[in-house]
Amino acid sequence: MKWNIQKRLLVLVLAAGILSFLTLSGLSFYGMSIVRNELKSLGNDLGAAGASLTQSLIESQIKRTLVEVAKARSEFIRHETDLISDDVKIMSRMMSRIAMNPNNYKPIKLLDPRFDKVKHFQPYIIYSPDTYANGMSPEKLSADLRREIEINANINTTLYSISKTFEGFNSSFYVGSSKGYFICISLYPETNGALEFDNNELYGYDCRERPWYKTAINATKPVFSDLYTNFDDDGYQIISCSMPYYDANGVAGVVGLDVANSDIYSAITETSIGEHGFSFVINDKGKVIFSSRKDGDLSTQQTDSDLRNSVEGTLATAAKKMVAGEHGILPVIVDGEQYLLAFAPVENTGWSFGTLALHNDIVAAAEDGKSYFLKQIDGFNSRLQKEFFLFTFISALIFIGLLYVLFPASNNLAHRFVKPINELSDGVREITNGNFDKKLEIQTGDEIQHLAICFNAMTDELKTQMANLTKATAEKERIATELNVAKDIQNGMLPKDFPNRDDVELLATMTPAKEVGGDFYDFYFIDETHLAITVADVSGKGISAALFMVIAKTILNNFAVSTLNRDGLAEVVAATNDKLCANNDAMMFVTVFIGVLDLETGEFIYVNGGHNPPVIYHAEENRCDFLDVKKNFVLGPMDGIPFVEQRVTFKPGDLIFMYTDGVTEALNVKDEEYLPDRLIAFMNKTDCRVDLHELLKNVRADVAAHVGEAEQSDDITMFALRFKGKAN
Amino acid sequence: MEIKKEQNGSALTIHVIGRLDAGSAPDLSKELTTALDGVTDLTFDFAELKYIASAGLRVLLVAQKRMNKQGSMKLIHVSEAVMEVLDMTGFASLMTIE
Repeated sequence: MKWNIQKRLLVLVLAAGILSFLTLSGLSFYGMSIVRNELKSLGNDLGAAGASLTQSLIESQIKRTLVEVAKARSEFIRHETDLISDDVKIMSRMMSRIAMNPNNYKPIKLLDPRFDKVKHFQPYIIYSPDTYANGMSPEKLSADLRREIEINANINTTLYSISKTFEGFNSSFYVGSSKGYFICISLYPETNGALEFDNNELYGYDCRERPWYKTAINATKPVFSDLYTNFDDDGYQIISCSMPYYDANGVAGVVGLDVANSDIYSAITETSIGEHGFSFVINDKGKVIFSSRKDGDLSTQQTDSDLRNSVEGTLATAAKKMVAGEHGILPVIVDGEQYLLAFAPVENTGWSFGTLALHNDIVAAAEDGKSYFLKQIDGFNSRLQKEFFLFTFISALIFIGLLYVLFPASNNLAHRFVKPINELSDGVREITNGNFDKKLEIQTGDEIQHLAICFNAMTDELKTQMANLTKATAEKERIATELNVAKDIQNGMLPKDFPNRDDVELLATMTPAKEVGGDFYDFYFIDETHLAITVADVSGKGISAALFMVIAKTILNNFAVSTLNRDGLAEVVAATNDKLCANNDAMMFVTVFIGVLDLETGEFIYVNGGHNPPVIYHAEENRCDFLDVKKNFVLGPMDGIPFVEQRVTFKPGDLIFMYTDGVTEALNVKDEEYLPDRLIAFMNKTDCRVDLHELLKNVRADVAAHVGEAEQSDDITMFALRFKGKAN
Repeated sequence: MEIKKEQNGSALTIHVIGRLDAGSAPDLSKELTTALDGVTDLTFDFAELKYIASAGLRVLLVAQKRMNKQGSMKLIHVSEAVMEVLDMTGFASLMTIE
């Protein structure tokens, strides 16, 4: 399919626009893709690195936190136990002061729960079981001992003031003498102040058998006893701290307190890292004395065994380090689960605080961190992806918009571009239809306008040419018409009325060629017995030849008629020549054969002015030959030249055949002439005695046979005269 | 008809080839009007001239008339057929034929 210019332009403009847009888009898309991939891989690398960094950071952070927590909590526990041991120290010092200086104190009688109702904050006394052995009773004690007890009862104020600081908690503050009596303040907030004692407590309680007594009796500083089994109703663990006191004789007993320290407890139970984290405290024997774990390994439920001997090697190792008072962090396995244990010693107590975080929690936290990081990266990637798609989408939108705008714009542009061309072709079509007055009005200022201008110029030229052509054609037609008229005139000038006489017979024919030529023949009577005959051929063709022929014929006729008898035929021809020469710059000339026949005698006087020699038929001999002619010059070019006249006498039956070169020079298709030789040969062959019409027809037929298909190139004139002689 | 010219200074030789008839005579005539300027020695070489018609003779006459004024003119290598015409028309006695 062939496209017109508009369509091509449209496609060209569209293609150019779209191609450049696509190229730019492609480039930016490519660039975006590179950036996106780079960013993506960068993000992924960064994410992976960041995630692993985060993971290790979180792990190390958790470890550090664990260690810090262990340290801080152990410090806190130490601080709390210090407070307790300070109380115990105060109690020991006060008790020692009283025991060493009994005279400084007045005896005080304490409440005896056997008889008295005892409330909290009220000191009371319990006697040792041996006091009741062997019929003994407290009332039967020696006076010294009674006095000692009553003096020592002065500790009550100290106990009271210390007990006040523990108001609201289950706690006891007491003094156990080596002599077996036991002075105490007990706080049981839940009993609303009133204390209840069973018999075992009243009569079977020997303080010297209690662990707090035994462990402290030989100590020099406060000792925390293993009162770990003492859970109160609130579930608080009870801490026992005790130390000896002295009298003048040395160690006289042990002072101590049992307190439920909620701060310590919460320091332990509320210290946990991670969802499954927990904390515990072991003592210097490797036993778990506090734990926020209710059961399983490291709970206080399994405190009978030394943790250092645990079947779980990691726990045993850790316990050894803890008991040895070291700081550290170790992976351990608790109940088959991996934990991370951080521990720190609690100074002054021989305890060690340990806090654990489930390894999986750490891993999970690290994983959380990692996945958070990766999520951020993913978010970044997806944002990037979104932006990328947005960019592609917008590009596509722009592309569609571009198409939407570009197509009509291109169409318009192409239409505008092609419009003058269409106008041009319309205009040219109109011009083609013959409207040469059409002017192309195209003002585009470009090549098309130039083309239009050229078309206009061409139209003008065409118009002029057409006008000229019309004029020339008209002129030619006019000339042709005139030539035809001239031909008719010329033909009309040739005499057609051949005389029907007994003494002479004559016939002439002139077959003109296409163009008007210069042949002519003539005959006229000079007088009653003299007949003049002429055959002539004017050089060239056309109007000039025709005109010259007319002149030549007229002059020759005039001179012949007027001066023949006086001057003779040669003079007639010479005079005619002179006349023709005048003003003959064109050098026209005419060949003339002119003869005058004396019809009575048969004498024939003739002058040949450059003309073809006629054929003469001798009737007696029945033979033809060329008439002997002098070679006089043609008429017209040269004046004053002489002409020679000749004469011959015809016998009756003789015939003269005159012709122009149209006969002898008639051409066939091979450009071969008929030639005089063929003429004379034919004349000798044919019967020259036949009727002149027949004779001329025969000659013409022979010429025609020679010429064949070739076009007649010259006038063919034949003129025959037969002398018959005087009719007698 | 074909015309070939050989100019040698003021001498000009014109070869007329083919038929010098009423149709072609004007061509030669036209050629001569300019070609004869300054020529003092004009030669027509008729070696290849097959035929001469009366119109051709007229051209020769015009040339002869002009050369009578400015120099000389001659015809060479005239064929028998042409010579016959020249003879018949009396041109032979008027012109220099070699």
